[in-house]
Amino acid sequence: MIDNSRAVLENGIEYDVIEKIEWNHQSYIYLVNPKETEDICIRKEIEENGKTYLVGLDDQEEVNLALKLFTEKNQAEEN
Amino acid sequence: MVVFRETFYEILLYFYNDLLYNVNDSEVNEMENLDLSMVKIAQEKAKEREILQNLYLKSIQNGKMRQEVHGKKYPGKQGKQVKDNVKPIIFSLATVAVGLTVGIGTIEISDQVSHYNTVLEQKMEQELTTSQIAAYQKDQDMGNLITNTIEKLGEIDEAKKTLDNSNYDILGNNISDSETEYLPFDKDDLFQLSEKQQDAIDVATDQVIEEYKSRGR
Repeated sequence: MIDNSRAVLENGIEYDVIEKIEWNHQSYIYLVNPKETEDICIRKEIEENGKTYLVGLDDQEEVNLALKLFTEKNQAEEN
Repeated sequence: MVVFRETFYEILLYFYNDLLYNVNDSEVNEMENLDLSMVKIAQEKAKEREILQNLYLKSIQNGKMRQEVHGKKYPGKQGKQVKDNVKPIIFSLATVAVGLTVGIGTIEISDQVSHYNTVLEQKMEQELTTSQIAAYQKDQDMGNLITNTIEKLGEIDEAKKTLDNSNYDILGNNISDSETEYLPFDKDDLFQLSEKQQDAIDVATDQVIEEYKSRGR
């Protein structure tokens, strides 16, 4: 059975999906290595021709934006 | 404003390591407490930068980062538990990223402090007496550039916590009925302060004015 709450990335490591944020027609997927919580990465989820892909972000600016989105959403939920 | 060739926190670590070894014996205890806490902060920030750099390396597009998955991803039960542990780290990374993005970060910090100084100066001219302004200047002169900068950033952060988050969207734009006039923010521009940051600076500078007003004429 496929578990879509996890993803095995190109480095062969399995990551947990900890958050998904939709913004400006993009879906940002936040991934953490459950065995090493400082091992964090972010992907975008896209659909092409009926298939779903995880792709990298364009640049540091987009990573920073994704971090801001995560922070704003989760800090708001804490308040 | 001094333009840092190295990162802000590396410079902080440099100055405080240097200071730790150049004080006389009578000041050692007091300075050691301050120095060690500042060194610890600098070390923690250096660690955060390392994590952030790894995040950039693993997240930014390269030819290998395109993989088909079977269905849309979502946070599961374990992911939500992991998130609770990781949230503080990501919050810190966001702060570091906003403050220290390579090539842009020192501008972000200097924009905050520069805007703080501009707003404070305008308010002081309108609301404080000459002697009250002199008292403020004297306090600033007793510190140094890095200490003063850290203090101001801290005041801005504390002021931000007093703001009503429901008045802002996720990019810091004020979405309430406020008629406040803001300086324009464009992420491609050098001026990087959101409306929320500008409001925080407004609150922080109001507090400084109140403090020095209370010192009498």
